[in-house]
Parts: sequence; structure tokens; C-alpha cells
Amino acid sequence: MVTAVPWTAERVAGLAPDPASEKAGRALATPAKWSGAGASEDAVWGFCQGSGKKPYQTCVELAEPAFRCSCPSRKFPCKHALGLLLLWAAGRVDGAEPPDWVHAWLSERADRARRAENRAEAAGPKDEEAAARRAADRAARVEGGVAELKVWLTDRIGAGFARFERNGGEELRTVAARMVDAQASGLAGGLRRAAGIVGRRDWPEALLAELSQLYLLADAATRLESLPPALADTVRTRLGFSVETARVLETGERVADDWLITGAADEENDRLLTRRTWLRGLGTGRDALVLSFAPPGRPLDATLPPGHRLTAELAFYPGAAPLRALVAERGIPLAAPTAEGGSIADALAAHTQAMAADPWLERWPVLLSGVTPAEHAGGWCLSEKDGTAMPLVPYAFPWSLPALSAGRPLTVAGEWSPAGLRPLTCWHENRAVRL
Amino acid sequence: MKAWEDLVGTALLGTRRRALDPAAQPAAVRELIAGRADPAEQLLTAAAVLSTYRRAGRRPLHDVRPLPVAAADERPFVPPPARERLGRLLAASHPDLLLEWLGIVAGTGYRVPPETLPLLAEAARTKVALRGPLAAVAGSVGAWLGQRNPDWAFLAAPAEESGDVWQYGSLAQRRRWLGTKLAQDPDAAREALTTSWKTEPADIRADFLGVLAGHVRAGDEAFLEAALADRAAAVREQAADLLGRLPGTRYGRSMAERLRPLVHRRDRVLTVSLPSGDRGDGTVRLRTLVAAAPLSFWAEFGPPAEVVRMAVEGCPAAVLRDSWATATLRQRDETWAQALIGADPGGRTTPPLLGVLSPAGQAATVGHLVSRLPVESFARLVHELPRPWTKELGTALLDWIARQDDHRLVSHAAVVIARAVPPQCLRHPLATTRLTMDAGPWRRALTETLNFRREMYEELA
Repeated sequence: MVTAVPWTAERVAGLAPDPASEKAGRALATPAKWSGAGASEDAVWGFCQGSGKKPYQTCVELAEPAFRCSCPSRKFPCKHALGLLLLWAAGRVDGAEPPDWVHAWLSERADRARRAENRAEAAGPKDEEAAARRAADRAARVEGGVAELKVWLTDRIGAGFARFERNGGEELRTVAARMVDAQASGLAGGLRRAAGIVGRRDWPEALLAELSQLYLLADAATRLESLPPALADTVRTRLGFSVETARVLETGERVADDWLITGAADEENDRLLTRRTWLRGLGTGRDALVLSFAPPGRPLDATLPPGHRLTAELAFYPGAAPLRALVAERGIPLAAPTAEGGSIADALAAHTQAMAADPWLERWPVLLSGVTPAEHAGGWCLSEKDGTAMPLVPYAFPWSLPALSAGRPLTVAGEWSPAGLRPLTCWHENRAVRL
Repeated sequence: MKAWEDLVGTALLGTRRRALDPAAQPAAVRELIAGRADPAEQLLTAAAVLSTYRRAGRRPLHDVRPLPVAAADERPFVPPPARERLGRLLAASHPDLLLEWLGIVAGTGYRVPPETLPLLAEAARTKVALRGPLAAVAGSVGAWLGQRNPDWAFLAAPAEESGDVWQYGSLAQRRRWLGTKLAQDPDAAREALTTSWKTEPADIRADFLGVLAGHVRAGDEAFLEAALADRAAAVREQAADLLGRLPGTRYGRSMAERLRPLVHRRDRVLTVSLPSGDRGDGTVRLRTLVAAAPLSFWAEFGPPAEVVRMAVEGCPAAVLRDSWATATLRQRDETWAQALIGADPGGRTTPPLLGVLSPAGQAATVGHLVSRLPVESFARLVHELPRPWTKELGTALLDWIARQDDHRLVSHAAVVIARAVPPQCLRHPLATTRLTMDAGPWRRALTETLNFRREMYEELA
């Protein structure tokens, strides 16, 4: 019986749409809940006894992965699929020939994929003229938004922004809405961030930093033609112009390497889930960021489990400090029980260099070896032997990293931002631990 | 950084009211903004450069002092399935199963992945029973965490063999020290207790008598008698309880002597007069006498099974029965326990009295009770059975519940039984036989809990 190598429980947990689903899934990861469970090379399936008379029929196709369950849940994957995968991850699902209902679903999916491919081929070249017109329209609207923002910004700086505190940043949100209308989502996002700053401790200086960066972006947007092409791409991206996946795959810089998946961070903004997955090329030393988006309750890309490595070719988005990438060709993720990082000085130097190319850079991936969690006046930090340290972002329950270290040095991967370092993964006694 | 502060100050007031001071800016910035006419644009440009410079040029912190290093923990990690189960236990918050799991791990010499320790410590912060087994499982890393976080100080308790704990430790540490010492070096423990006795607050005196309860011996009579005259009622009650556990004490004899003139038997009627005195009411004084007198006192009125069934005059029968039960619990008298349960199987003293019986006696008595009591009463009784249960009792209860139909009280009892039966019962047919599709939710839950617990033991074997 050929069966797929079970995933780690961490990797399964990474699929959960929310913590409640993960918890419910764990409760179902017991053989007593399942009957007729089996696993093949392509899929895992089983019947789960719920509260009703009829057991739920659950099946997971492993490649994508794709989920199917007869339960009424709108969560995706549902707790049954998670429970089944966790059971499989624990080595408690035996290999078996897929029963008919699983087989039928798998071939139905394969057919649909083939049909979609045929459709795409049959569709032929798009109406390029209409596309060009739409692009020109959008450019004009963004241009209008940029001009409006510049006028508004200089006017506010002229009048002084003490008034922002009085109206609680409401004015900033109004301008953000106008930038949404102008289809300049990057500018809108910056203004919403600025609105969130007002009233915080030290808000005037944080607000000035944020608004001056927006001004810099708006100013750069008015002279795109005179910028070096890579920087112009960065400015366009920051303004909110997206680059089509197909174009990235066709023309983006390709880097093939053995990639270490150093960490993933999920965030929810405006009813949209974002997963940032960071990769480090083991041969090239190149850093990459793969983004995945989903509405709440739908699955984020889970094919890049942190603490694993995979041989893959990435296609980078254009830009002055290319970081964002797509996975063009991929192998199978393998557990990476150890990792080798660099020093704090090197990480900060790399960050400086990246910011010199892209001053709007918000987060920078960091992989440090030989660092120990330590306390300093402002909270926790990661310290090297000689007392050189990077502060950690303040967070509510900061104890798992110190518990793993117990005073000993670790290898830690995380995201560096003005707020500090957010640790994502750490390597401890031959295993990767998600934080 | 004066240049930046100048920018922030000007931005707050507005460039129309306050001019930007170019002299405050670095030469490079001055040069960059020279071409811009509007002061607001000058300010925004300078701020963009300086804020980028500040972010890009972040320097590391320096001279951060390292934390001490925890002693190395050489124990192997729990096997992966057990680690998975710990994740489920923490997510589902089953403190009782977590307690059992930690207890198993504590006995195996495994350690848990350190990243789980903070959540375990948080659980033990609110659930005190978890602290002992957790401290054992958490080992040196746990002690290290306990030194870092005052909320988890219980993980970093000082070495308890040192005598200092008795003088300076917290109440919990002192209780643990006393309990251990009473088992290992009883004479030294008693000396420590009597030396500090007079200076302890009343609630602590009562508390320590509670610790002594598990170790009381004949030589304690004088000490306990002295405690009978304690200022605090709680201490007096504890002392009376402990004296009652000792056979042949002067106290017991004197209670029997005071009881003697009050008790008479005529045919099948027991007449018990209430003792007179100047404090409290007569029934309270009677309770004290009966509970403290040796049960052998009643032999002259007949064997226990006969005495407990006699009609009672002169005092409320319930007071007499309760006091007999108290005496039986203190003196651990199996014959009396059987007699009292037999006379009133549904009574509220039945569950504690079952604890006095031998394992076989317990199982047999439970077998009788099943046939004599209505299902509802028996199901209620299950909740109060003293623990830990023996294998015989666990099996008898599983056999009983296997035969039950769906009933609210049965399903409540099932929860208790599933968690309280000892590990030797976890292969009962209830756990190993496949459920039928129409099995009720409580039966399903019972089977699941039994299997969950069995897997816990197997994974850590």
C-alpha cells in the first residue's frame, strides 16, 4: 500500500481557519470518533460520528490540499477534516485502498481541473484594447488621488496637526475613504494606519513619520517616469497597483534553491486574512515573502509549513528590493529540525540595505543563531553572548520562547519592524517549534 | 535627536505659525529641501528622510545582561502521541484528566516540550492540585521559569529537605514539609510541630492537625488532649476527631464513662438521654460523646447490626445514627460500617462509610445496594463515593452502568465513573466493545473517556 508520509501536527494545525476550529479538531483526533478511516498516496478519509444518527463523511485530498465533508459547517476546513488529519499525523490512520466514494470525488476533482485547463486554452487572447483602456482609467484616478493627497497633506502641515487629536483621527479616515475611491489602496492603508496612531502615547512623532512616508510615496508617484525602473515598480506596488500572477510567473526573476520556510504570521484586516510566509534560500541566502489571502473561515495557503524546507523555484515580483515572490515550481516539504542563522549586526545591516532600496519596507525577515531571550528595561529581547540585543515586540504572553531557551542560546526566525522583533519559529533540540 | 524633535514640534503647531529652523537640520537634509518653496513640503520631505534614517539605522541594544542558565534536563521528551494528547488536554481544558496525565508523566521520567510549560503553569496557577505533579514534570526548566515569573513561584519552591522551609516557607511548603517529615522521620516531625505550636495562628494549627491526621499514632494522645482545650473551636474539633482514631485513649474511656448512665436498653428499644451541661444544647453534647466513645462501648447492648436497628427513645434517632457514623469513620470499624449501611442504605453517610470497607467488601456492598436502591438514589451515591476507588469497586460500578438505560442521573454518574475508575479498569468491556449506532451520548462519552485514559497510560508506558 503506497501512502503519503503523514504531516506533522503543527502543519495540520496551520490549516485551521481559526483557533476554535483547531481546538474542536483536536478533540476529534481520537480513533473512537472515527470509523472506516484510511489513507492512500493522495487522500485521507473516514466517517466521523457527530451528534446526529448519520456519521459525517470526511475526505481530504492531500496535494492541494482540498477538503470535503458532509457536515453543515461553513468553516473550511471543518473540524472533522482537521481531526482526521491530526489523527493521521499521529500515525493512527492505516493505509488502505480508497473506497468508491473517495475515488469518485478524487476523479471528479481531476476532471474539473482538466476542464478548467481546456477552457483557459480555448479562451484565447483577451481583449487587449479594453484592458489597456481600463488600465489608463485606473492610472488617471490614482493620479488624481495622489494630487489630492499632496495638497491635503501640505495644507494640514501648514495648519498643524494638533487638531487630529481632537477629532480622534476621523479626518484621516475620511481622506482614506477618498483614496479608496481613487483606487489607491496603498495610500488608503497608510492613512488608516495613521488614524490608528492618533491618541497613542508619543503619537505626534509616529504620525509625522507615517504621514511623511505617505508624502514621499505620493511625491514619487508624480514622477514615476524619472525613477529607475525597479524603484518605479516598488512605488507602483506601494500605491496599490497589483502585478498579475501570470506576469510574475512569466517575467519575474527566477531563483531556484533549497528554501527554508522560516516562519508564518497570520493577520486579519478588513475581513481579509493574510498569511505572510517567509523563506530563506539555503544556497543563495536570498529572503522571500509569499503572501496568501482569504476571507475569514476560508483556508489560507498551507503548502509552506514553517520549520520545513523544500526545493523550489520562486518567481519574484518586480521592485527595488524584491522580496515578495510566488512559488513557481515546488518539491515536497521536508521537516527541517535544525537551522543556521546569522548575527544581529548582519540582520540589521541587511535591513538597512533593503530600506535604502525601498524606504516603505514594513517588515524584514530575520534569522538569528546563538541568541538568548533576556529581559531589558523595555521588556524582552534576544541577546547575543556579548550583550548585543534586539528588542522583541511587546506581546501579551511572552513565555514560550524563554521556556524553550531556559537561559541557553537558540536559533530564532522572526519579523523585524519598528515595533521590534516578532519571533515566529525557533529551533530547539532537533525540532522546529512555531511560536 | 534635535533635528527630528524640531520637525515634530513644528508639525504640531503648523508651518504657518512656526517656521522650520533649517539650521537645526543636518547639512544633507538642508540641501535636499532647499529646492522646495512651501515650508510644509520642506517639513514633510525632511521628516521622510529622517524617519527613514531612524528606522533603517536602528542600532542594537547593548550590554543586556544574560539570564542565568537552568540546570540541564537530560530526561527524554514524552513520545509524540503523548505530546499530541497534551495539546488536546490543554485545548479542551479538562483539569482532572490533565492532573491524571501529569501524574503518569511524573512517574515515568519523561519531560514535556518546554514550550508547553507556560500554559501548564497558567493552568496550575488556578488549579492548585496540578502544582505538585507539574513541578515534578517541569523539572529544572520549570524551576527556572518559576524564578522568572512570580505567578509561577510554586515551580521554584526551595529544596524542601532543608529545615528552613519549616521556619520560613509558605503555608503550602510547610504543609508539604510536615507531611513528608511525618512519613520519613516521625519523631523529628512531631518535635518541630510541638516546638512552634504555641506561636502558630489558629487556622494554621487546625491545618497542621489535618496533616497529622494521616499519620496519627498512640504517642500523640497527650498532645491531642492538650489541643482539646485549644482556644479555637476548629482546633478542638480536629483534635477530637484525631483522638477518636486512636484506640484505648483516656479521652475515649472518659467519653464512654459519661455516656454510660445515659444509655439503657429495654427489649428492642434503646433509650438515650441527652446529657446536661451548661454549654450548648444537649444534642450537640450527645454527638460529641457518641462520636468520641469507642464503638466497643455498645457491645453490651447487642451486636452492631442489632443495635443500629433498634427503636430509639430519648433523643433524635438521626443524631445517634450520624454520631455512630462519625465514630465508625474515625475508628475505621468495618463491622459497624456494614451495619450502618445495611440499616439505612440510602442515607447520606453511606458513601463515606463505604470507604471504611475492604476492597472486596466495597464491591460486594455496592452489589447489594444496586439491588436495594432505586436507580436515582444509587446514581446520586456514585458522586460521593470516597476516592481513590479500588479495582473491585471500579469494576462493580462499570458493570452497573453498562446495564443502565438513558437517564439524566445515570448520565451524570457516567461522567464521574469514567474519570474515577482506576487504570486497571480501563479495559472493561464497556471500553473495548464497539458501540451500537443508537448508543446514547452519555454512553458514547463514557466509552471515549475510558479509551482516552487508557491511551494516556499506553502512550506513556
